[in-house]
Amino acid sequence: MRKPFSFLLMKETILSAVLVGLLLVGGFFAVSYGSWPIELDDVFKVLLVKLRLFSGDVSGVESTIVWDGRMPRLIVAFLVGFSLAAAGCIMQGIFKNPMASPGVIGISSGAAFGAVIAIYLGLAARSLFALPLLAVISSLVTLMIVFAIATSRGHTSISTLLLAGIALNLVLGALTSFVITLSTREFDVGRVIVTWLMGDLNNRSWDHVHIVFPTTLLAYLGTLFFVKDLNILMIDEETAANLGVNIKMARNALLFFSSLQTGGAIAVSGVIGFVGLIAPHIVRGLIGPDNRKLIPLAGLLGAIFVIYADLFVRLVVKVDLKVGILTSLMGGPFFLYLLIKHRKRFEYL
Amino acid sequence: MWAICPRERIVAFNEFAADPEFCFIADLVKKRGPIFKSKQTELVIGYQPDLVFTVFYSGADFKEKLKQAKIPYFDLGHFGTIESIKKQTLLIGKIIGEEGNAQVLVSLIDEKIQELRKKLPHRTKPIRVLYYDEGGYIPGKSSNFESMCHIIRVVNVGAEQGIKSWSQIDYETLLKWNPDIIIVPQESHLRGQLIANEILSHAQAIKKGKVFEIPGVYLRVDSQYMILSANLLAGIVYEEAF
Repeated sequence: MRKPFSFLLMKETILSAVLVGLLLVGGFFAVSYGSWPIELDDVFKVLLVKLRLFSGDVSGVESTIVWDGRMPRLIVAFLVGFSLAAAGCIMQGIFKNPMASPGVIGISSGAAFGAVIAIYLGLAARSLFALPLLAVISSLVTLMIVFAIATSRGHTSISTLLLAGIALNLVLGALTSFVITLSTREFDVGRVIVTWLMGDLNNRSWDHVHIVFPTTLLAYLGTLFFVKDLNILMIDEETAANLGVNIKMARNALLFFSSLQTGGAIAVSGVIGFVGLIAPHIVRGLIGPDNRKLIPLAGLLGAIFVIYADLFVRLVVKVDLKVGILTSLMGGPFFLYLLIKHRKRFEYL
Repeated sequence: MWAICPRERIVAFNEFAADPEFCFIADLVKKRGPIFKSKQTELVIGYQPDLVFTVFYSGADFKEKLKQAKIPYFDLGHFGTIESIKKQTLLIGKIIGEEGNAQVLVSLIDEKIQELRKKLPHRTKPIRVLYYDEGGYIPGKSSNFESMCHIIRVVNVGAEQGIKSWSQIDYETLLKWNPDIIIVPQESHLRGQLIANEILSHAQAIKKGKVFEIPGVYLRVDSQYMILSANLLAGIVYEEAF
């Protein structure tokens, strides 16, 4: 006998299959095509040998391009998209608002400011790890400041958190602009900062994977630990407290993981906007708000979004269009669509 | 301006003229002064000059303030190539009534170019040179680097590949273009980065150790001193002849 609601399960299965399919297709194009022409046979051979599924000699230029150039770029795109979308799910869950994203409490601006400082001081040119490190540290410091402002006598007010986030966004944005102004004297530095702020996956290497992989994994596993609490928190705090949820700990931990994911992603890719807004919203509309399923599937969609955006700018446009510009060009109209769709709700605010 | 205008007629200099990263005669300019920053409109007005030379990308607000103060200004055009530099030099000479000096300078530029070209060895296949700047930016056809390359008869790979002004490329594209020589700014850490890169380890310039650093001022120059940059570049490219 067919179980009731089994169609819901089917929806998730179909969505998962579609997403995995899209991911495989995108991944295939990402490693197979670039400015250097490589035969598909060679691409597969390199991948099979490097993944130790096949033995053989794959040294040479094609191997290096596929394995040290295209593959890390693909993985970084995946991890960045996944992180931003997962962080978006958490933010939207905590703030109970489909418009919330990792940028809303100033985390993205914090990461961007740290990165811009690293470029301006020349640290980013000296060490590959300087920029990501400063971006992650800066995003976490921003989170701590926002929390310190919003917490009074052990209670963290969500509305104060949002307002403090808005204020810090403005302050950090102004500071970032100030550094850009200073850097325009040194034309090269100014150009690097502006390019970075546009969001870019050019020349990403295994080192970048090593930076973003731990933050993505740690934050995802941490989120999974609190994902049931997040579901309950989305109902209301009273219910959550009645059901035994340690609201303070769950919320703080989830915000920390969201910051870590966002900081890690921005650290290796620059500012790639709207992924954290679009992916969760689309997947939530298809499978509902259960974060246990929403976060991994929205993460997958976010990853696909970034991979395809990167493919588009790399293989189709081929001029200086950056991934972050493309995602914003697509995300902006989507944001407006959300605004129009939910405008009745905003009239009461 | 320094080369064609009597010094006593020059009222003040923009900060970039006093910056050794941008100007070969920065120390002379600094000594002579006064220097004003780009946004110090009041200072410029205070000097009460008879004429201010602006550039086509100077702020409209700055020009408006000059207009309000009844100080005439003249918008100079593009300075990126040696031809445009010669054109602008003659134009400045005409405006300030120093056509003779301007003509002498332009003739000197031509003379120095000819002198340099005489020293260049003949090659059937020109050397392909790529200038790699911070962030992976490459100059193209309308850049001063193209002019330097043109003077010393080498191919600017960026222009060869269709870049107009500046464009960003990835390592894979750099490998595909495979220049004979790569030039990077001395103040950057790019040489080390390029040499250490796995993908670029297959590029002939890296394999042959043909990645050279040039002080930034030589690469940013957009005056008659571009001949100095061309000389330096020629010394690197044709090491056997210099």
